[in-house]
Amino acid sequence: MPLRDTLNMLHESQRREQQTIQDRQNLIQEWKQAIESLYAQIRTYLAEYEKDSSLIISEEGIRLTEETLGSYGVQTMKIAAGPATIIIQPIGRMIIGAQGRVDMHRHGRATEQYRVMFLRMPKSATDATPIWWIRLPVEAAGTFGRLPPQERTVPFEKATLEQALDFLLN
Amino acid sequence: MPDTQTPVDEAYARYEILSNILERTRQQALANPMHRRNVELGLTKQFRTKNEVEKDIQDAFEDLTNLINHLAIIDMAAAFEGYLRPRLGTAIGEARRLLRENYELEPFLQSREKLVHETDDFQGLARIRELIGGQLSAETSATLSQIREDRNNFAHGTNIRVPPTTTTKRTRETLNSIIEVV
Repeated sequence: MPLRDTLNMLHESQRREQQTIQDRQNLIQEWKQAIESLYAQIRTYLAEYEKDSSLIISEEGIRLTEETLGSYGVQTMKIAAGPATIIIQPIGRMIIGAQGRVDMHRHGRATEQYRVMFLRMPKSATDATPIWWIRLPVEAAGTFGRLPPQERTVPFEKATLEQALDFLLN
Repeated sequence: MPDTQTPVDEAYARYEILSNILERTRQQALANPMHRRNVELGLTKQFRTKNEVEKDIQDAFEDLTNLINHLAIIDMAAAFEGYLRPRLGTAIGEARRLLRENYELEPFLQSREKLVHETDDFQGLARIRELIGGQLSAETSATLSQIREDRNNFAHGTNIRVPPTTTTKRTRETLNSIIEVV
């Protein structure tokens, strides 16, 4: 192979590698912003409870590792409600059927039947903008009176967040 | 399939096809665990991470492998019984004929044919083992018992996670060796 072709090939390979790294960093950045936005919304929805100290909300850093993204730092959220603590923890950006998942469970009850998921999914069938949804465990779905048990993914709103927290704290 | 195959071989061939399909599907699923197809096939659930999906897939295929191992033994045992049944019928017919021609003693002269079993009396591997046990090696006889127990245990509610006590290959060899004797 002539030297020019070899050099072109090497430069192209380097460019692709840098692009992959850049894409990965962008994806992590976008994911971290989505988590921050979720936490900010949770704090807004729970402001009245935080104000009268019924709930005490805090955050701390952890590291997540995903095969395609590598290792990166994110925040977890803790909501103290008297003797009970709710933990909100990012699980990953690369999720089957969603563009990110954050789990919420009561400390000491991390099994699937008591796990609420925040899922980042398209707003609707016609609008691909990702927004946060809440997915309830089977046991909780019945408590949301207006939903048939099989429809466990509901819009993330103040009312649904409060109901999910109520389920976990009971 | 060649003519020399026994019905047990045919059952084993069905098992091999199923086993190959399963292995190919397992490899395909694990090569791209996050593909929607794995959710559609029921191998995993929506909203799982790659690690969770891989574990779901491994667990699902472990169960399916156990299932087809159990089913293969049931299929081979049924094929074996089906093969023996007409031969037993012929043997019983022949025994009856000999009885009719040669047995003239009282007090059972009128009911002499009842001294011979019916084909239905040999249903099941246990009765077959009793009948021809004397012609079998101790090892073959023991394996036949295992095959019978595996089949009965599965039919009566064995946990799918518990694999059969015999292998499908050994089941095939054992049942074929009995067919050769009979």
